[in-house]
Amino acid sequence: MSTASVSHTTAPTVTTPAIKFSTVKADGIDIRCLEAGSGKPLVYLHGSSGLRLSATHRALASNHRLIALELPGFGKTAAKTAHGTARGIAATMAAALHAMGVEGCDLMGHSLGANVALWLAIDHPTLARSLILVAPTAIRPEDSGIGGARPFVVTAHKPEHLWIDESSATSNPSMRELSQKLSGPPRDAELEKAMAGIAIPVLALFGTRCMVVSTDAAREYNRGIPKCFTTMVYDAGHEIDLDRPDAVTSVVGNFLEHGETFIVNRDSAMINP
Amino acid sequence: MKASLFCTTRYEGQSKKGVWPVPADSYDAEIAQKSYQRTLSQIRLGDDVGFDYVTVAEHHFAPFSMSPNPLIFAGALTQVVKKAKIALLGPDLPILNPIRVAEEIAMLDNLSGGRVIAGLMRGSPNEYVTYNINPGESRERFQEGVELIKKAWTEPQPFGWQGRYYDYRTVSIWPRPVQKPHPQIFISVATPESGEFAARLRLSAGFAFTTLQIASKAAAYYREQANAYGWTPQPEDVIYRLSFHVAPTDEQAMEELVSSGMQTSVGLSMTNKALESAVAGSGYYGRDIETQRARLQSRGQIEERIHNGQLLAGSPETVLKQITRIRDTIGAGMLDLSLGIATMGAITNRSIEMFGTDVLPRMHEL
Repeated sequence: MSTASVSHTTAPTVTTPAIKFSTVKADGIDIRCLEAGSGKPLVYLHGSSGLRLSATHRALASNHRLIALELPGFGKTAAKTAHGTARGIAATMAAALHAMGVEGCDLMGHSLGANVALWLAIDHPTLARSLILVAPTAIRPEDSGIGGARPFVVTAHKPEHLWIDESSATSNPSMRELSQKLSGPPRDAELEKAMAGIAIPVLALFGTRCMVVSTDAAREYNRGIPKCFTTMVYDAGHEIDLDRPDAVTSVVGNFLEHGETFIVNRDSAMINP
Repeated sequence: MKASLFCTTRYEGQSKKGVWPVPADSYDAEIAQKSYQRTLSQIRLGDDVGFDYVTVAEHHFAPFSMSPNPLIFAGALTQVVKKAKIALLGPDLPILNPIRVAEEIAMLDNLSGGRVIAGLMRGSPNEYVTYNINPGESRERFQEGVELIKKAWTEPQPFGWQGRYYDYRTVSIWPRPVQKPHPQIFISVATPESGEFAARLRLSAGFAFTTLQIASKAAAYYREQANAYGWTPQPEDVIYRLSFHVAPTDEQAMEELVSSGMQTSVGLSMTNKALESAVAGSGYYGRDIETQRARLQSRGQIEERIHNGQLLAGSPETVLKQITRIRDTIGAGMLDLSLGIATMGAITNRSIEMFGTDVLPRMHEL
């Protein structure tokens, strides 16, 4: 049984909205946590580039309680042996959220954080109302580059961060090794079988210029998850929300508001009322 | 080498010259319908005499080519043309709905038995006024549209598209193209930007409304860029468009061209100078603006056009020499041939027939 407790400290405001820094104790480790905004909880699990927030998070925090948890082994959050897999980390993330009193949330993960989010949704089916996978690396048909010769962090454009901890950037070799391990094999039969049991709506985003996982991977999520919607974000690299923050905010915002009917356009096209 | 016959549906009645858009005061429905039937009969003839392709293209608000939707015209051609393939050269992508274009070309590929090639074009400057699209955004819209269409043709699962200019929440087109992975895509590579884009996406190249001199530089740049992306364009990856007129002798061909009034023709969209200047000011032409404006300007005299690679004219023997020069200069594997004389009945038809019987068989061996 996981045990956890929460302690809060408030750090200086980095930018609007105010970011609240805290530490959550779960499974015997202190997990760094960033929170911003208020409303329904939106939990964000970062990718291989470490804990960071983008303009997309800023926008989503305008009507959500954004909770960004640092994955064990990254930045200032220690890891145990159990944290050598995405599934192991998912168990600790569930304990942390329970400790924070979060019983239901929308769950968003980037890159390997999306892999953790998948396992969270599989192993804790009542926790997440919806799942948003941003450049997930759980299925890599071509195994096109994690830890390989290609650039690890790929942004097609100059990114703007809302907040970033430079110490956890993936230029750090140990972070690269950890990321590689947590991404798992290119095809994980156990995960793909379990994905069929995800009953909540899932939105999966892929960058058309991503060098880590190609848009061809999208179809595997469509095939494997009953209510999966995949979206190609044009001209975005692996850090999709850094490259195209407005595009990601738009589609994710719609999905969070309307669930699987987000495909219905509710915007007026009237030009001259 | 291969040849495509490009018969524009030119309105055969009277219309105002030197303006765009062209007012329709004098429009006569019977003349217009007759113009379509004339075009169809020319295309049938081209098919009969062995042209490898027949071409359709898009233009708006003018009588020189009544083809605002070339894909509708191509739909008719699938039921008219028996042997030739259909060169869609092409829809003006930035002013259209790219998913609709993907769907329509996939339909045409089915209706034609996998006989279409897909030219995706930016159109001439005036076309941006047609549907009230900012010409300064033309290139970005175009490039995004091409990538979207490729995805729509090849992705077997529904997908959304969160673009800069296009948003679709779910796409899953039916029918799918017959040709796999999709019909061959041609784009104009007149500008450096388009040469780079075509090279990156491994697209085939087209040249139109240009000169041999300008196109040879652009073709070299396209090949250089393709090599940088690790591939080498083949002759079948390059189409070059120009006019043609064939007669038994060089002298007769020239006399017929002069009597047809060809010397007074002007460039494609330069009839409205203020419009063209405004489009140029929008950034439409890209970083090589002077060359791009120059290539669309008024055409010269007949001899100059032949020299510039804008016109094939003369006897079959002479025309073959002109074709060989273009092949050697551009590396083109296909010529897209518009009618030097479009509406002179028997003279026009004789030129088509003579090209088919006396030029094409030898051209195929080049």
